[in-house]
Amino acid sequence: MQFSQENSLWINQEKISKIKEKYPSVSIEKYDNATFLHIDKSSLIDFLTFLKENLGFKMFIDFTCVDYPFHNPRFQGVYFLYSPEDRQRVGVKTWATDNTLPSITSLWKGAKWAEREAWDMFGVKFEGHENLVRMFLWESYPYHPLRKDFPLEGIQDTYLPSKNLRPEENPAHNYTPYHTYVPTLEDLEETQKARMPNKSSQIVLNWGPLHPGTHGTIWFLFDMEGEYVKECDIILGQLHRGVEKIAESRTYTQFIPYTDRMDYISALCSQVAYVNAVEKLLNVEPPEKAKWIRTMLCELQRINSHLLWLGTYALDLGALTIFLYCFREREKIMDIIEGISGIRLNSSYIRIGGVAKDLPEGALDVIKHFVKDFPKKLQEYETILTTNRVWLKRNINVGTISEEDVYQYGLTGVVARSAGVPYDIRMIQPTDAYDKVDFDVPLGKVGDCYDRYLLRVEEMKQSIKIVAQCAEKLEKMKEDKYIATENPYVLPTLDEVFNSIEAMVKDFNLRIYGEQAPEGEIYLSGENPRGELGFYIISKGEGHPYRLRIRSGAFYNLQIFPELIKGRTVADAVALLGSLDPVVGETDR
Amino acid sequence: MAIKHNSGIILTTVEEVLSWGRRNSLWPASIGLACCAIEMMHTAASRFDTDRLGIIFRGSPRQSDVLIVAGTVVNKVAPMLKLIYDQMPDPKWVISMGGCSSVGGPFPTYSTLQGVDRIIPVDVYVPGCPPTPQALLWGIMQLQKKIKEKKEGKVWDEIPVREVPTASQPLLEKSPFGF
Amino acid sequence: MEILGTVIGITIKSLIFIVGMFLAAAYLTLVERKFAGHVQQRPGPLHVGYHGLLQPIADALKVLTKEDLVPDNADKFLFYLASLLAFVPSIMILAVVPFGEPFEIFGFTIYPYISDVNVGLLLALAFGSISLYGVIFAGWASNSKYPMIGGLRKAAVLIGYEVALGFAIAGPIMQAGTFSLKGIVEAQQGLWFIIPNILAFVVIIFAVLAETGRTPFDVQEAEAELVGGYVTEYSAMKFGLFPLAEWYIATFVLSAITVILFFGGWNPLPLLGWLPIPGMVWFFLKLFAVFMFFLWVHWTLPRYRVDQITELAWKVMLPLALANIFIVAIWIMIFG
Repeated sequence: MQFSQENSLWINQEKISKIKEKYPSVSIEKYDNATFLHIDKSSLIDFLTFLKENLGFKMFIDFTCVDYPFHNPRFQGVYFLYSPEDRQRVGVKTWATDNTLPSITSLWKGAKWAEREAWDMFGVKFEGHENLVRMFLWESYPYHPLRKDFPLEGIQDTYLPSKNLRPEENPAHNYTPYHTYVPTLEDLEETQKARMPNKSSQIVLNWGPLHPGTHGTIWFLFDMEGEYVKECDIILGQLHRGVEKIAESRTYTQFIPYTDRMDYISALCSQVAYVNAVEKLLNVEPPEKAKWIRTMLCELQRINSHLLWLGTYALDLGALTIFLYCFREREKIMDIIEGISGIRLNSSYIRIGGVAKDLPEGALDVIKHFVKDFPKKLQEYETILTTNRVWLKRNINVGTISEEDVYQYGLTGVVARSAGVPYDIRMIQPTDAYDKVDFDVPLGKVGDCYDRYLLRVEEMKQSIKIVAQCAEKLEKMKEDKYIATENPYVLPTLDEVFNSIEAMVKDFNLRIYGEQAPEGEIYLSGENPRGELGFYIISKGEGHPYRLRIRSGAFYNLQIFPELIKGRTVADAVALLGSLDPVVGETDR
Repeated sequence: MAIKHNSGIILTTVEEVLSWGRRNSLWPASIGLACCAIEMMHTAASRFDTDRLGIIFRGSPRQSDVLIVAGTVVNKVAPMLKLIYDQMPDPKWVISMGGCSSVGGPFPTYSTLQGVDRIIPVDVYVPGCPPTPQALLWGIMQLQKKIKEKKEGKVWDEIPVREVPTASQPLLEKSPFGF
Repeated sequence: MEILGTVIGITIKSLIFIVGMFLAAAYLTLVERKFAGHVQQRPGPLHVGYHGLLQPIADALKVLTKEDLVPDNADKFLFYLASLLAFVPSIMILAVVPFGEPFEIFGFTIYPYISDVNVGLLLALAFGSISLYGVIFAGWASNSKYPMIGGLRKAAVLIGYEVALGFAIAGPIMQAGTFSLKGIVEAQQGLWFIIPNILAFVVIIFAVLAETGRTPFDVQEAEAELVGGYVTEYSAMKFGLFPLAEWYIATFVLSAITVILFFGGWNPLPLLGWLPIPGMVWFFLKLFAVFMFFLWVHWTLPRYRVDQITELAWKVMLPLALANIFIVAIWIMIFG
């Protein structure tokens, strides 16, 4: 293993003994990459307060539930906390007796949405939650889809044939005319009303879900007085595709394409984060070359993602031309990625144990040229924007985030770093080749939109530095192996499949039955351009995960939006939303 | 190309001219749903530039002629998409971009709409996950061709089903599926 | 008989101006799209006609034959009125804008303007202000939230810049001693009014950008915030009139007024007076330079927030305009 227990990110023995002193009933569950403390429901709040106040676990990372249908009580709540001083994580597990859990929103505001999600997906109720509504689905939806007894396809009870008028013998599709229930507008209105039980002002503005400024399909409710927003809530789920449910019926390799489609702007980063988690679970060590390729592509993808952010952010604030300039550079990166992986956007290039293909000939030359060319282009954008008076006026002191907010809401990524919190997974838990490359993590001072703009621009410069280092290193590794096919969990290459019967049998087994992962649990995250993308995988020794929880950075980052927008105008909402940079595919999963 | 109602040379010419105007000024509603929206933005951006064909994206459905359904349509957003479609003035067209909006794509789940044609009629299906900008441009040109050949109405059996972007091998004479 | 001749002459001229302006506005859309395209490293309209030359015609045909939707709960009378109110006054400004000196063809003296009123500048300002009611009515009549906010924003901005604009044009008027646009041009035979009036010029640029709804002051139709702003509910030609009036005709006409006020109208460029170029050509060259300047600003800058615009108008532009009057007064005292 790359991380032994000593230098890993998880809670150390000293703290565990402190906990044991105070709470003798706590039992410890230890894995290579996760440590969980079991606590009774009755003393949960007390225990979490102790962790937060006394042991320094003050940052909220994630909360989720797991369904064990044959256990009584059925649902288990899992909390992840982080201690920024000691750089330690801890997981806390508790059983939800009577399908209820105490709400921890009094301790961490960031748990509000996570608890709503747990209610939506599992039907676990939370005592003391301020407004427990459905997170992703609509209010009158009768099921809780992540329960194990709910089918992936849903209940297809509505007659919904194709509207395309085609002759009988040449139908548009050959699938069943029966479909899951599609809500009516009344259903959605009910959902909207449940979000704003005590509206006070003149008009409620529905900003979104299909609106050019909302970065996809986020649905904002602004309770407005004049143009000032008094109250705000966000309805998510307009792109809820059930990715976590899909994961439970796909093999580990089959799930890789879904990670692309979650955060479609930074597909490669998501793949790397997921594959790293699975590799740690399966105990696979990818070859050195694959690690460098991954790091290089991740950083290219980060530039790509930040460019899209810069373009759309400028577009939202009215500067249309920057948008097109950024897309010009994006096209170059897309071409590089297409040349390497074969696909422009959702590349599915990373494999368990390495990468899918070797770098094609000349790829490094193209990348080197890009590295040389890109800083000049970035300079151009900075000339137009960085000291532009209009740009400054729109950005400075808009949406200021404090350090306390970061811990309360579990903010990660650039949003956390803009408030001066040095939380970067690449630094605190380096995977792949990140521990061997030289780069800085820029930190903000104020925490406003302008800081986040500067940080993202600076991150692009750092990323290009990493890409240059990787390209240089890869130049010397041209003949090396790019996938560790000798490992029993790793799919053989096409060449091997065609030339050896053992490889063919192995390929067949892995594709049909999946990687039979050893029993265990793991939480591992990667630094996505949008924040910490964590994968919490529970394996029961089958070819597919028992439960796969995706801790989405954008989901938690977006959660602070309603608080920041209070008392500001709709024009600021655009700037603020842009600078938080959510991607709906990831927030909704 | 046969015009069914025999309305005389002048009317035919007028229709011809109108159809020319319509197909050369297709304004899509700028509504992005998921991954495909990124490729749609790339299509509109400098390298591919839909403005060459007279296509500019409009924010409001009231001013748009074509709805590009770019991305996964989930059940929850479906009624709103239908509303957007209803708000568009006639004549209007729909391009279903990508596997997700065409048939549900890789998401055969409880919350995903399995094919956007279950709520609105679709004129052109563009395959891909996501389709490249070239594919979307192909779809748009396919729509232009359709407007040229059938000026009004959605009569489906006369659309050429054999036109696919790759010229590798000819499809069956009568494809069981749309494309 | 003479009166009849004048009436016929003016009618014909008006028709030429209106039809010409329509066509010009249609092709100005193409100019803008081509210009923006090349700024953004793309070709712009290319395949409809030779290099997109038929693009405006295709757009016009399509927009004219679209279904004309009126929302059910809109205020129908105002809804129709708004689009006319935005368009007609914009084009009426043309009545007082002179495009050149009278010249003779086949013995006829042609006056390249419809009328030379002695309060021409005031009329132009008045018409410009009326057209803004179109925007505000459109916002109100649509009975929808986004147009409403768009209309309110425009009203807020309007109050700010109109005052500054009024004071800014005082400088050239003081120097020329007349409200007649023709008179102002004739007063600039020697030195253009840009020299002492540079502050007023800055204010005028601000006002024109705000009036025509171009970035950085296009708050009323900020797409990312308000979908289409006040035009969100408009479709077909009723929609088409708004951008035509605001973005093209108003920008064009106000550019013309800017040229007349500050750049000597149809007077040739300094030191180039010996060139055999007629006055009208000079005028249009300058006009296009100013027009392109506005486009350039539009496609480069981000936009302000509403409160920031009003702040700018009252705290920066108004003092600048007042200071300009002071400077011009001293200038007149010293140089006559």
